[in-house]
Amino acid sequence: MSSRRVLEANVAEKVKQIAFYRKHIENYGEEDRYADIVNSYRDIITQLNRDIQEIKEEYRATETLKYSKDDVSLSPDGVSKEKDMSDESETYRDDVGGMPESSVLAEDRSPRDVDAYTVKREFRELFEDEYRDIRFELDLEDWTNLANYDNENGPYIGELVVEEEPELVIDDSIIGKLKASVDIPEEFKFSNDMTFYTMLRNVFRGKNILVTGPSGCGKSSLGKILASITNKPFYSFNFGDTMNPSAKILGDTKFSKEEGTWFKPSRFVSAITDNSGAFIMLDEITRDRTGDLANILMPVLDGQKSLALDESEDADVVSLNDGAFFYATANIGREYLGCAHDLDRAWKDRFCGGLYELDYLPQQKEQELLELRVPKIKPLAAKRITEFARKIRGLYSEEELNVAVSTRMCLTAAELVVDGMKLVDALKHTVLPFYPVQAGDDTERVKVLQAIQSMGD
Amino acid sequence: MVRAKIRKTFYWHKVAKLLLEHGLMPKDINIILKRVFPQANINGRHIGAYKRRLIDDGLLVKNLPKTISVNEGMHMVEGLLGAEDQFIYNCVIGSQKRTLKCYEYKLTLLTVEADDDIEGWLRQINGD
Repeated sequence: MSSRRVLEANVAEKVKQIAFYRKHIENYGEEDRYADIVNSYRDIITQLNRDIQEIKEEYRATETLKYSKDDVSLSPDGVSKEKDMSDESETYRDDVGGMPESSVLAEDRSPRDVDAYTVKREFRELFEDEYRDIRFELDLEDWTNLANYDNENGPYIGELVVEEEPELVIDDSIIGKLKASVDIPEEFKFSNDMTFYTMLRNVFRGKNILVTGPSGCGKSSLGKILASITNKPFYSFNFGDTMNPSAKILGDTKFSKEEGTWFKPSRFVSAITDNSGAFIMLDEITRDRTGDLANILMPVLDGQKSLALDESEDADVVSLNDGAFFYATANIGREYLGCAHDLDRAWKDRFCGGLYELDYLPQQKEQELLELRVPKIKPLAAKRITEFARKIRGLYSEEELNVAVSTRMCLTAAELVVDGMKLVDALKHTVLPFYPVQAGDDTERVKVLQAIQSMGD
Repeated sequence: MVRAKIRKTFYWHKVAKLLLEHGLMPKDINIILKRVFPQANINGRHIGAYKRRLIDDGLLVKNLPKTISVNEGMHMVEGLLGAEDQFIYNCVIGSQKRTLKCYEYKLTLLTVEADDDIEGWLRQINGD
């Protein structure tokens, strides 16, 4: 390749770089980026002028060069395009680098002062003919080439940063899908939304869950909400009313004149064999005074997933439906006198979906709940009731009181207020009976009464 | 540091993607989805947006030839619907029904109130 061709290729490449920067100027308006671009643009133009001069020198040496439209002179601070088409035979002049007046003025200015529109205009004038395609058709390959330009051989070009493509993460996990699709119900006012979605996940996976918490915090309501949302048939079994454990879980013998004695399976057997996959709520599991229910239910809750209806060798065995799900609730605490025992370690272990310890709602959420459940309550009244509840719960956590105010009590008080009772009277009526009458000025009842009276009318 | 693009997935996306890969149009896919998710609040625009997202992410080729009919798509989808997606669909519908129940309760309450007021006025007029 002749030296002329090499120089021309070099010029073409530089023109391409200028076009690249021109595009940058159009796309980005940031000050910092603009300064780099203008600097690079000036450097490249200087180099380009030098190369063009070399081409001209070579042509002059061979005395074959005629004036043509390729006769372009450039200046670092401005571009002047000089053509003299009137006389094609005229040879090249040496003063092609002469600066116009505007370029001289531009030289005194810092790169930052150069107007972006001026730069664009100069480029437009410069490249409107032969480099039109290059200007407008920069593809990915050009970007890559420019980014990898050899700085040692060519003029300085600012560091080109090719933006890294962000990693694509498709969240197709079940919790991700649930979060995207299912709205949290209004009644579900717990502070952490994730609790709701993990509970739904457990329902789907058949991982039983146990919810503990103070009375009236919404454990049973939560069970009903989950059953309603998952659209599963709902069965509830309260352990507190158990008289005959085997009759409750397995079934009982009945007698009729026509059929004689026959075995009637319990409602629990119907629940676990429900083909739709039942949502089975085991309510108040710590209130089973017999203590046998937990033992009978062990094989149902663990991996065996079956229930033998009697103790004979050829006993009928009922298998648990794959879609069945157990949701248990319990009160654990010193004030729950009706609870016969704490939860057994092995029993707790059966609830592999997790043990959720629910507390009372935060004040704001409890207020929202009151307004939702008792639509006619005024917001101020709802706020004062929940403030009172928060105060009493504070005393309970400091162990000054043995009983806290539950959400259920707040709802009862709100309903009384709506029905015409004064707020203070409603609170006295609802809350005071939970605190025993004792002699003295420092009893629990006195503290609660003071808290009620501090609410005002 | 480049932040990852996190794409949400809905319960109908898996089925819709499969049908898009067979070159079906979003409006046809909507008909098929209504078959498996009859109460779902999805329309052709949702599916079209999902299609554009897949093309932008490079997960779907543009202008794929149609390889199955709508009827074939219906049969295919019924067999491929996963338990997980069906469960989430049930939850979506259950959640929406609960929201409606909440409004139903409020509306009923208002209606009863209005009736009581009217009855009260009538009693006053009649002098009862």
